Amino acid sequence: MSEARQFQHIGQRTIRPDGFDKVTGRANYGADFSLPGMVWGKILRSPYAHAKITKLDISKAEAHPGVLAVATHQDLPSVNAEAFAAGETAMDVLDLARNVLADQKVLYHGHAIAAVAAKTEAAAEAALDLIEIEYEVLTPVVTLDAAIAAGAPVLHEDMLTQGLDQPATEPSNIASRMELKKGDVEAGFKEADIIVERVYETPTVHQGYIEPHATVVRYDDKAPSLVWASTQGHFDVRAAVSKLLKMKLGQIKVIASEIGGGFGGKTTVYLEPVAMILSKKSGRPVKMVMSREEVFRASGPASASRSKVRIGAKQNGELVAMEASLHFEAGAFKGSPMGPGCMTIFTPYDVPNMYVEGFDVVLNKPKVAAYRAPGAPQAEFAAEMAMNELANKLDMDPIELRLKNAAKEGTQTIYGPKLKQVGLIECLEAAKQSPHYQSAIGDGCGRGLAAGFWFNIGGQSSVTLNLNPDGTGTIIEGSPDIGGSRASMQMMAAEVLGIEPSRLNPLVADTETLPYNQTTGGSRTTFATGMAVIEAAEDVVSQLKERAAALWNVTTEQVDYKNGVALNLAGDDQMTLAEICAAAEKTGGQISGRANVNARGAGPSFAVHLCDVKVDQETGKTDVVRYTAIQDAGKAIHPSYVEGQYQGGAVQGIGWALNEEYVYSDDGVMENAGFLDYRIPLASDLPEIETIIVEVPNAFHPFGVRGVGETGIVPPLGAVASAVSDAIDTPVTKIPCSPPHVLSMILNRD
Amino acid sequence: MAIVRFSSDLARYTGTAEVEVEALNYRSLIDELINVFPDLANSEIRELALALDGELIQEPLLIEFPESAELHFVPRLAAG
Repeated sequence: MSEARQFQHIGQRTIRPDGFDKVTGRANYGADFSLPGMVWGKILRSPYAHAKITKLDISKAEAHPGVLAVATHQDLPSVNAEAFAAGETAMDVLDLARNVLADQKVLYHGHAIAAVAAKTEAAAEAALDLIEIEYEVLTPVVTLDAAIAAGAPVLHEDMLTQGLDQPATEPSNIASRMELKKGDVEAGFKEADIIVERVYETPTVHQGYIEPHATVVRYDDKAPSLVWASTQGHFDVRAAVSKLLKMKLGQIKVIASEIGGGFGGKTTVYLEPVAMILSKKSGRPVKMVMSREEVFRASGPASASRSKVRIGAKQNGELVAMEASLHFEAGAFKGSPMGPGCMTIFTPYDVPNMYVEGFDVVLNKPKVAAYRAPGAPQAEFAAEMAMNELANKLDMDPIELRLKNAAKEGTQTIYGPKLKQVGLIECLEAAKQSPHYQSAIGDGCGRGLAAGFWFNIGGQSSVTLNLNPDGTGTIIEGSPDIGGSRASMQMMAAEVLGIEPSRLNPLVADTETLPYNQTTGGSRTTFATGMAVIEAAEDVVSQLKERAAALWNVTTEQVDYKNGVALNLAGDDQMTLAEICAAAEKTGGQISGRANVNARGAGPSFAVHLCDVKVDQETGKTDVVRYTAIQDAGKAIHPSYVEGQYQGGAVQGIGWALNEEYVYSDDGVMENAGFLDYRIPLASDLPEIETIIVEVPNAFHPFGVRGVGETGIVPPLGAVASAVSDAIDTPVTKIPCSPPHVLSMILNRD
Repeated sequence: MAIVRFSSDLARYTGTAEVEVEALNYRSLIDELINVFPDLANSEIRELALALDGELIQEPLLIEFPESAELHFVPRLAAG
């Protein structure tokens, strides 16, 4: 795209089309849906983190007068191991089947074992108590150390570590190993004047979406069965239900409700297949809604991690070698985002010698799910903390150290390809010039900064754009709107058509209305679905020119189209889009455009965050007093939503760095499964998150777009923790920097 | 000639970190690589995305590339 391009609507701050419904309570979320004759489904969950089920008797529950159906794993068809996309954390269909309803063995506290459908919620709850289960309790492993220790209890007897030089012969809790190399890392370290080496740890954290998982399912053997779901990807809900229950895709219709947040956590299924079984057995629509406690105990959090990092530099700050060994928790089934962690950890830096190895480790916790830039926050936290320590040791400004070694166009990444045009240097320069960085650090405060990287993705999106006879229209898309994307779709279509965005109504359609659309996530929607919208709008423009040509009795080549008006180049005639639509009946029928794309060319996004904290030296309580998020958006379609993504990512990352963690007892029971004890930041905890939008256009997108939803959560862990480190003059190697942890560091510092 | 650079994982099957190929599209690339490195047939190479001169392509089946292309096989990335 041309950097000099002038836009009419792109870059404006339009009113969001779904805003009124959401602030007035008219929008329908997952738990808001009901159907005639609907009954309630409830899940019986494991009281143990690791146990064999030796007896499971549902007969008394089935006999309960209010109960219409009971489901167990035995109601699932037999499925084979087969990879299945579930966000960045790919899942195996067999594992998914064993996760939605345990088969013979429970693998975490809260693991679903059976489900009941009853006429009332109370009856369903009562019937759960009538299910008789006996267990052989096994020793749980709830830490990385315990999981990989010699002789550790093994979760899966058939799991052999993949990716070893020599094929594994004994079962292990290490599902896989990955290795990436660039140059000669040991030779690089020999050139180093200074080496920083540390081990960093991050905890299990939850995405903290507002709305718990919820679904209503109506099985039908004569028409498509209906699934109403709170999901980031209703087409992938359909695919999961299809695979698990061996139903044809055409037998399932999924409607995506409005969604109260996802952040990657709503890219897989928990309730929907179970509700389908219950609906089929009971002959009634079934509604299931998780409690917040169930969300914590049984839905997928982000991986805890341990990363050993070694960085070597010359005295002038030139990096010569970077090395890391990453362990990521996968939860009860294989498939952590260890791979993206390995690929992203050192990508902000152009260094000749790198080596990274990663391990995907199963243990007795819920199977992890994606969480904004999965794997990158944990891995890059380690690298960024080590970079800041290196800057201290070199007595060098941390931004200057990064600028000296920053990745740029042509940098060979450790995962292979060379970067195209990227905006890290522009973000670092913007950070250096920012009012925040130019300001003095307050008394008793510390300052930290960190960079962050995420790939961004494209993928499959389908769009239909229908015009009405009065020139209004509907954009029919298949990407659930979790971040204001409907407004962006309006603006991109309006830009191409040359009309006001408000004349187009964006609609997120069900799985029967459009071909397959990939899940909303990976920062793909504004990029890829936007690309489909642009292509569909261009299709419409072609038709508008044809229709105008027909009305004027000229060739299409004699018609131009600008700013919503067709121009007759062979005369002086003009017709607006609305006038052409009004005459559509005479020129071949109504006008609609469509596009089915598998978008390539997603532009990576870099960010740099600055953080000032004040630490109470007597209690260890940390307050963020100033925070600035700087990120490359390529081109900000709707700056308010871009800023919102930056702020949201920053706040979630601040929570991760300061307070959030799953606290487990030795027997594997989460002890803080609620928002009173699992402390996410509140608005009153934080200052205004300042934002700086950097725009280095992505050459592969017509408007220059890069995804912006993921990268913003990558730098905060390092920015906050390094600010705490600065404030207490002690290296921080483990988050969260909760008051007890910080106080302990203060009391134990040299 | 296009140049293919292998990740450490794929290099286990090829014994080399890079190779030059005559193939000018994805299908012939896979055929040529497996012909030269038969063990690659046992890898997940067909499940990987392709980076063509730095551009990540998730579904490369129909991709054609110039003679001087630099190619990498990388894990597919999905949504988060």
